[in-house]
Amino acid sequence: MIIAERKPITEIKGYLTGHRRVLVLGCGGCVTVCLAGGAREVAVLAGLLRIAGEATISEATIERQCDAEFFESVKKEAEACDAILSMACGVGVQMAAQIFSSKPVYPALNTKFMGTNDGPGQWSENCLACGDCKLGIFGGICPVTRCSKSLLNGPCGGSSKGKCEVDPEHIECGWQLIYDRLRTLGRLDVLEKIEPPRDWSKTHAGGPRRLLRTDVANLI
Amino acid sequence: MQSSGKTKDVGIILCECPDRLGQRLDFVKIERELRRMPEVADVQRCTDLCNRRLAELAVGNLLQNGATRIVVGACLPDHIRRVLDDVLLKKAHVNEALCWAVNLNEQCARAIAERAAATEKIVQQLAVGVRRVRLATPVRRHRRRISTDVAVIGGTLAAAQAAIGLANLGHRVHVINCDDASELFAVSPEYLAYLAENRESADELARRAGKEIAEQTSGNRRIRFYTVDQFPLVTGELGNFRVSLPSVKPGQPLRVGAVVIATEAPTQPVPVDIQGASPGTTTNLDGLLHILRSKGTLPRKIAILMDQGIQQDAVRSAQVLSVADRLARHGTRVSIFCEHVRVAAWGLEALYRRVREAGVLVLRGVTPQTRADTSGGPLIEFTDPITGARCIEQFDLIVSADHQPDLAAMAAVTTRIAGLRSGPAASFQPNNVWLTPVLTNRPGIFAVGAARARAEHREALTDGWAAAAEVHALLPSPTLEVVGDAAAVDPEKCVLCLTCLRICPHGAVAIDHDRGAAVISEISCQRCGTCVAECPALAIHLPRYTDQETAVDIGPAPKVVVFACVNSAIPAADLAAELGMAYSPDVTIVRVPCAGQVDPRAVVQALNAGARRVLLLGCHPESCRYLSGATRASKRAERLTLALKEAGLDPALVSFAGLAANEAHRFLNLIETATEGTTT
Repeated sequence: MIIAERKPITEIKGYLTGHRRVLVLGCGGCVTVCLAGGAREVAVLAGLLRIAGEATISEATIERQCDAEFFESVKKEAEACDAILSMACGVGVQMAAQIFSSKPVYPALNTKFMGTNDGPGQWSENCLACGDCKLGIFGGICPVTRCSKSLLNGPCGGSSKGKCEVDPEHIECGWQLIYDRLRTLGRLDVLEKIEPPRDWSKTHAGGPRRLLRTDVANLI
Repeated sequence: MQSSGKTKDVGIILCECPDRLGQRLDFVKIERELRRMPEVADVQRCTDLCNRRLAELAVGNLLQNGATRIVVGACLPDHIRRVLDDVLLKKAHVNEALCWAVNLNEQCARAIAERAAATEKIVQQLAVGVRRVRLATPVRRHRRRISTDVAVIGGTLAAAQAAIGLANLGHRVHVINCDDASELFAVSPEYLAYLAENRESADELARRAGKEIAEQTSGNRRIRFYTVDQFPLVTGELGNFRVSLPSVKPGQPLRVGAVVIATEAPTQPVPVDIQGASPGTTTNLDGLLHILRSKGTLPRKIAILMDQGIQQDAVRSAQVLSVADRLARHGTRVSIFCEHVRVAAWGLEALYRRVREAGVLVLRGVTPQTRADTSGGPLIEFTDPITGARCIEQFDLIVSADHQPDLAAMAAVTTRIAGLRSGPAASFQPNNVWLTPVLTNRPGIFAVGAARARAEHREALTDGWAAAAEVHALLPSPTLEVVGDAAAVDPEKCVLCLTCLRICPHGAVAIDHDRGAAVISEISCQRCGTCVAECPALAIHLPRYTDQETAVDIGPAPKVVVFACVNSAIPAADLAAELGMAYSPDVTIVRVPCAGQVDPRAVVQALNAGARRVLLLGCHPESCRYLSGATRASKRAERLTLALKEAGLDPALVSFAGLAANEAHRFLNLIETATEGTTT
């Protein structure tokens, strides 16, 4: 799931300066689940902006902001406004900007990462969408994400007592985790092989990626 | 929640007793104002609502004049409750959700000096009541079949005592021994040393105590025994738990109404870590007991390390002192190094004195350093707490007496009872006064003896009795009345984010896989509303505290809004009123079941409506009626404060404070601080 958090309101207010009527638009997808941009957060942010009192604020939350169809229900509302404050992830904000092409669309959230929910109010990053999943080799622990250096042949010298030198207090060494897991599985032999360099063209380094399913797309 | 179709269906009954209310309020004006409301069918004034016959007469008139929803205005919560329970609910059969009470006395107190102001405030409050009952839907009650059998898990003395107590009260008891104890109800080593203080053989005493209680249980036809090798899986809820015993009854879980956890404390000894120490020169308390019992030669000089870093309790002190006592009597020189000796248990003070008289050296407030020595036993280096001198002493044996929570063993239990929270140290009882003596965070699950706190054996036995009484109070008959006013999830809105499931303090939430939504148990839900205020999709509502109802409470133009928890702030407010403490009539009090129910949206809504201060008043967080509600409220207030600051607004607009039900003065201080400079 995509994890996001609300921007400081100072920054949000900065965007809205000069606008008279603003629609705060929530998303019912990932950002609702991660407590950042669902109906509740929309209501609280809209309420706070109203108290701050610079613009007239309306509010709505749609099913998902990454699909154009869901915007239909708020089109009228949006037309009456001169700016949209999207409480979706970066994907939703861009979709909203595409839909409301004549109006400024501002982000209310910082999109952080793709990760797991580790408990109430706790999330951690687990996938970088590298496009070439190696989890099957590494015992279900991603070296690309969980190792700060994304090493495929780790660990490096910065691994100490199971922690990563980048932040020994909070970051576990991904390679320690891989080692422990493979030992549990009795597959330490995997680590004797040198993993060849990744095909970087499959990552974002190859430019913005697209996916086309010819069995589904563009058929009449 | 929709309002009733009929327009005029609210009846108001007012007590105007001359003693407490008649002088202070203008009842003629109150009646006239209320009769102007289009929803009001009738207003009855009664000279003494405490008089049951008069109350019945007034209610009868209201009903006859077309009222189906009733607002009661009287004084003192007890009087109000009596009118509600005896007259309205039991006699006139008005649904409890369709009644609303206003404490006229409390409202008077707000503007006690001024009759006109007080009257105006009361009219406002009664009008809120009228709007509130119009929004209400009747609450339904039904009875559900349950099991009155009880599972007692563990092989301790507390388990035995709980089983005996429950059997005496007519329950069938299933005692499931999953402890390592080879003999059922073996008296654990925890108690051995303590018993030894009697200068008799500890083993003999323990054996006798264990045998005595085992005889009582084995002779009882209502008690059945099972021995299993691990803590059983417990599913279900109060009244309908299922306890799986695959090795004893495969595929046939026991169906019980309540579960008593009476296991050994999941702890493990803290090892002495001295690099290079020769074997046999370090051990733990069990090792020392073993040496004592084996009757071989005893070491001449022993150091016991206790209460080092991990806080130990009186039972640990008892063990260490009684062992030291025995060693000293055998001529061994014993030094005890500790942060504290805890003597708050029966007979311990005397034991402590005797031990010191016997020549045992007790060094308190000392954190010693240990190291090995090539010439003999390990060394202890420490600063003498009295002289301040640095000392080094050599010992034949160093004993670590401390125990630490065994996290794996704790998890073995908490993962087998979903939603069960562990408490401080190694216990299954969160540290909260509402849970004493034997409750856990989950309704219907109890913890006794070492499973809730390391207790000496008499306390453990008392726990057993207490658990039996608690269980019996919950499950007196094979049916359980369920009131249909629990928090409820709207499956259409639920996004299954699992926030409610994870935060519910009582483990009342589960996943309904068929509907693809969270579901809240009517039995386990404690109606605190914490989940309502956290649900990111606004999918949960708590009857009586819906958005609409809260909006009525806040009113169109509030000045100071106080969200007041019914377990702490409301009784404190009532008490303040009773003591005649006056405060500004500008204060709007919103009753909430728990501060944890206060929705940040409601706070923002109050500010938007013009409130110049919003106060969240709950229990003191460490003694919140619903465990975590007050803490959540304080955290939400913090987040809102930060947001207000970021928005360039006064962060002091919103604040949280904890108070207890008896803190009337504190309540008044908080209200006065909040109203300072805001009143007109």
